[in-house]
Amino acid sequence: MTLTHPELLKCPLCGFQFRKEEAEQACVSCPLKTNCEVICCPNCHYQFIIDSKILTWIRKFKERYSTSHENKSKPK
Amino acid sequence: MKECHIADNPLPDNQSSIILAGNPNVGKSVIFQHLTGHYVTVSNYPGTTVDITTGTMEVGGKSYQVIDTPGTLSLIPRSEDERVTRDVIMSHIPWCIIQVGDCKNPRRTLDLTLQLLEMGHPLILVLNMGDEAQERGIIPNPKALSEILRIPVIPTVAVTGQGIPALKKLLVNPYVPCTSCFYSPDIEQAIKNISSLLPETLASKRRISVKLLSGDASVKSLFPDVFTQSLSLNIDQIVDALQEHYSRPLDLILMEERLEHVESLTNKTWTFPHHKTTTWNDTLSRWTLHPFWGMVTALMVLYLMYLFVGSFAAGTLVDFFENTLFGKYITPFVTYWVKHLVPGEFIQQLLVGEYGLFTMAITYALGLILPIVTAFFLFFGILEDSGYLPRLAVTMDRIFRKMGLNGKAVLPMVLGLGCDTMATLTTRILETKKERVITTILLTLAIPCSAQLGVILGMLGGISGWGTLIWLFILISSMILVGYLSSRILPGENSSFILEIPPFRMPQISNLLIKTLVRLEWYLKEAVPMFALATFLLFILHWFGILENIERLSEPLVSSLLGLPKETAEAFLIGFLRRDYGAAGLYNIAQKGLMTHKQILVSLVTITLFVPCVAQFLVNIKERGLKAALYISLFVLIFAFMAGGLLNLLLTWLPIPL
Ligand SMILES: Nc1nc2c(ncn2[C@@H]2O[C@H](COP(=O)(O)OP(=O)(O)O)[C@@H](O)[C@H]2O)c(=O)[nH]1
Repeated sequence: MTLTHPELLKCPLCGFQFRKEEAEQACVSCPLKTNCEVICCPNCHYQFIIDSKILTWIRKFKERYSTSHENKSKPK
Repeated sequence: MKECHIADNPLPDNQSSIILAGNPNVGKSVIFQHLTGHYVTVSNYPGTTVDITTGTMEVGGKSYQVIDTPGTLSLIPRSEDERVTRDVIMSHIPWCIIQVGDCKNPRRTLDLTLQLLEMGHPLILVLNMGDEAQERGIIPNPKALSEILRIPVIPTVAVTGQGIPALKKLLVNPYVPCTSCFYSPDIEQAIKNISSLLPETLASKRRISVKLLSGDASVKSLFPDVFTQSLSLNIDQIVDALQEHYSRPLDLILMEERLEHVESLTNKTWTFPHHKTTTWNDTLSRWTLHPFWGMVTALMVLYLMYLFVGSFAAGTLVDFFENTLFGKYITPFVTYWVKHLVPGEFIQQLLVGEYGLFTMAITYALGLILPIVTAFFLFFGILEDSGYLPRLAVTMDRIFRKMGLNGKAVLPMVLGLGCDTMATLTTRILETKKERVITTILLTLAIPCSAQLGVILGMLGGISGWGTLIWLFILISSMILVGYLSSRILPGENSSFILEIPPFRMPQISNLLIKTLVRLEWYLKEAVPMFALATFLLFILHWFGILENIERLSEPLVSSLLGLPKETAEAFLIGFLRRDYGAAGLYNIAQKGLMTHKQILVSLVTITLFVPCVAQFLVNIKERGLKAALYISLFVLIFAFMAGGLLNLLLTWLPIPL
């Protein structure tokens, strides 16, 4: 087993590690690319999704909630 | 922390600071407290919201400032926390850096160690969490590690204070480590060349050189007076010359080589437990990769999927959603209010009529397709998270290869989301125009999006196993066709494409749910607008009485060739926009009892081979030109109807119980 690097995406099918921009080279001419979170592995062409608007939204919401919470409890 | 106050003082830039660095949650704060006692200062790092804790300690009669940096995974910053850590480390010349590492996780730890070593500052590696590691049978060898890296390595248990006195003693006399050169010779040479261009006064020249090779220009802004235009130009030349030797970006190559070194270091200096408990995992693993038993397992898994998606989701769930939830409650409710509140027959019909946006598009999407696709994605997530997916691919690839076919061309497509649009785009890498066109045709024709596959699979649940087998046979034949032709077209691509077989894992429910949600979001976002558009077209055609004419005109095709009821023409019509919507239309007709099993099967085979969706058509135009795109679609259409017609004939002649 090798280390999964935090900066890289890892293909769930073939285990290839790559950067998002490498995969996005294929998307240059796609008419749907602006709203598309699908990533195509450059090694094996397996397609998977890495992020979602809903999820980012939930995460942001949580973050904001927890930081506002912390700020309140911090002594000034 | 007993006393704690917040100040805005900048960090002193002299050699009287001791920097604590490490991955998150390794016990840095505990060590920090051991070193500094309890008096600490928490301040904002200038220009950020990140808190930096500083304190003082006495070493050999001299006072030092201890700086606790935010936990970081790598010196290449991705978050504000990591940027602060990088800046603190890059811009100070410290007395010493103490890296706190979790000795349960050597790979993470050593990855950071190697990056810190490149700084050329005195470094002490603390291997913390010794108690937990011991419990798990993970045993580091600090002495061996110290000899290889030529830095002091101290095992500690921060919570009990074990190892802390030894650490304090080492701080008296820290020394600069020797650089360890582990990159390939040509990279090392380039690092040397860049370093020699940098002025003597600059600390961590090796680190800066490596960063410059990685294309990280942000170091330049840390030292604006050093990097003049002519120096930058010279450096760029060295970087470009090296990049020519590699096909992938240099920073990835550097990272890969570093990780390889981490791997070999770990193997040399760490012992991991030989768990007896993992043997079931190994056994299962061997079983699923076995030529024969692997195949049996694969068939069993696919059958399970059929049961789950085809029988449970498409039967029980859809029945509940479509007939009870929507049929009994939501639709009558919405219809009632629309009829009362919305003026005008046209708009009422547009919303809740026979081809209404709500009654058709929304009901199909949420009542019919959503349960099926959710089940499909859920099952798929389990396959992915359990680590079975690569094994399935290996098994199927093996079968393909025995037949001389190229599995790589098909499998990742069928297994992933199988978005044909994307697949068309990846055909750009093919050399000749002929290859690209053929591959596009094949992808358009034979490989349905997996989500569409789910919907079709769901419908198959309604007919007998024989029907499913016939459909499967046709799908597999078309895959074999793609595999065969692509092995002709793409010679030399027959190498195994699976790089790593992960161990079996228990999928985590939360992760599974997130994955399913993410895929569903993608799917609905792609599909629902198209459903709405298709419904609107249908509505307009119906409103102006054109639909009936189309149905009459397509009668020879639909009724005579395929032997289907004339209502299915509508389904095929909307199938032009998205074939899963077409499949849903067929499903609806079948549910009304208007089709026999034979007819369902014929219609499903036709829709499986049908044009995928409008987006795909648009990409085809963009990539191949309008003429080629039209030809491809026409070919695919004719092929789909011919295959359906042929099946219709065969089923009429052959006594197959459906
Ligand atoms: N068992 C064990 N737990 C430790 C040790 N060192 C720290 N911890 C615990 O690990 C957790 C994370 O430690 P902390 O100092 O906050 O980590 P930091 O994020 O690196 O600052 C805390 O709950 C500590 O009590 C250790 O040597 N052994």
